[in-house]
Amino acid sequence: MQMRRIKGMNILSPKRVRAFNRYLIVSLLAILIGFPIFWMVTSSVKPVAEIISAPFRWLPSEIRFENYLEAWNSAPFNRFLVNSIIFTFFTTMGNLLIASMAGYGFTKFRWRGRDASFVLVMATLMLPVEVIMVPLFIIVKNLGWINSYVGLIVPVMVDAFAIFFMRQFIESIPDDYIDSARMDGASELQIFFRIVLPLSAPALAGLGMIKAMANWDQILWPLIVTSKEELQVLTIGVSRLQSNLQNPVNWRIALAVVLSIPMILVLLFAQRKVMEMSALSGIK
Amino acid sequence: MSNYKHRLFELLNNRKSGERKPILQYHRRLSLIGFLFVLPALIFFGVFNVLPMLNAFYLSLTEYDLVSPPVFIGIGNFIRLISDKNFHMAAGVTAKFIAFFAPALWLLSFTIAAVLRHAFFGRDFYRTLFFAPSVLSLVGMAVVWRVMLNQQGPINVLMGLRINWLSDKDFALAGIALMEVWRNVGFFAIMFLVGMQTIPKDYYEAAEVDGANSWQLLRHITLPLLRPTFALVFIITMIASVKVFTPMYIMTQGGPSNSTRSIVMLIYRTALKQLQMGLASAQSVILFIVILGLTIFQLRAFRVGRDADETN
Repeated sequence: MQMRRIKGMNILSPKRVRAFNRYLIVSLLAILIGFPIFWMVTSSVKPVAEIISAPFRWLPSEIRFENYLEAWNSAPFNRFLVNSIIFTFFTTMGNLLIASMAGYGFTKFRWRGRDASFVLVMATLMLPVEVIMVPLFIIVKNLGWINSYVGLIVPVMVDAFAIFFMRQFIESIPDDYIDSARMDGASELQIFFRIVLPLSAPALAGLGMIKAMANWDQILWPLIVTSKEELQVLTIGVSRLQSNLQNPVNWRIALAVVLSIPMILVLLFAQRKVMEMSALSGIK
Repeated sequence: MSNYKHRLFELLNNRKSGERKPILQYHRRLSLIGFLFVLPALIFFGVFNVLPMLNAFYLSLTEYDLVSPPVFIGIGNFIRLISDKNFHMAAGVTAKFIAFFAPALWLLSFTIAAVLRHAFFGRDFYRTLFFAPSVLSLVGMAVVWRVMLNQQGPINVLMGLRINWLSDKDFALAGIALMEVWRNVGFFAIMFLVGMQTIPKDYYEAAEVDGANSWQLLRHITLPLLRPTFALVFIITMIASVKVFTPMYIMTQGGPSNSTRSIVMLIYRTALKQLQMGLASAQSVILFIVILGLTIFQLRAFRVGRDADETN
């Protein structure tokens, strides 16, 4: 860059040039990355003809919130929504409970086989749903849990990352709190529920958040376990709607926005936390 | 360290100190409690993770259609898979997906991280914006991109192309990879950022004093010290790519001409549509071995990265 060698030109100092380049690049990238989201939101309220139109339209000519209503009424989406909420809630809560119990047991106690079983638990990270889905389906079928909430929720309720994460966090809780509670004669369960859990609230909140978002978005496992409409979740409902080519295109996009609402809320209110948690979840 | 605790415990709970039994009882009791806290998780993993995997190994050696009992056929399934066109195709699809997806992803997300690491006005907003796609519903984004990749859709219009992405067997996978790159750049940029933050600023300052320019800083400080991060990014990308299912399911259902039928899609179809549990289990076992291999490779690579740092 020739400008660097010109002395005395402060406006074009290397630092400023670099900063300007940075702004340019980042703005360009922001437009590229942000565009699909912008397009999604604006298209969700466009009349059908304007979504894929011959001269490309940036903005809708009229704002049609009816898209959302029509899409929603075209299939039992209320039911799908309820199922999604049930699935997300119980899977996440169950996960948090079991993971925090296990994390507590792995770090604040010493027992034979502790470290070996921790390694085994971490090893299950190599057994995601995609790998075990065939025999898992058979097991769930033999338990009679196909097309039931139990079958939907229970098998995917625990995961090793959650345990790892809670163990890390609970490890940092000072032993004194727990020991003095024991001195005072508190039962182990009381110690867990009245001391360990409340002190773990930040970790539980962060973990709960990303787990809830992941479970809300789940489609593979529900596809495997549920075939009856009464039990299917929102993701399946949306997938079915968009595979029916007779349905107008703006319906799909409206539903895609609906599917993204929990995530949008989380981003608006807890951006930093989500980004922290995501970075950590990679470091398993 | 816990030697005195049991004495205190006994004191406050009115037990005679000095007896051997209460000491052992205290420790034994705590050991048991610890185990009990972990037990539910162990039971879950045992029943819903480990047992299925063992079952998969067993079923892969059988023919099973859910109606009649499994028929043992030894390694018949695996031999069949060696020459199975569908399986080859699916493996190829997964490999091509990685080729389209991984390099573009790493390059872009690293660039974004490099730009975002310096503070500037509005940085937080940009960071959240880049991160947003990875947080929003994957199913939702797949639905949206399916429309966006239409021949008259915005992607073509704005790039000046006329590709019929998802209906063209040569471009469908690229279209899906494009969506996934878009969706994941922000997430991996954050990973790189976290890694970059661990590099002490002093290194850069010292190098700049010695007259290093930006490229030299990058090559001799940033890249080497980011080795652990690269290892992590690599393994996460690989494992995620090998498991990919949802985008294909929503956007192309494996078509056109099976050009987007990934391994997991094939397993799903073999098991739940064709009810060939044995064959599907064999495919799953192979998938497992791939993931196992990648994990072992990563553990080695990670350690190499660490050792290299220590000799600096």
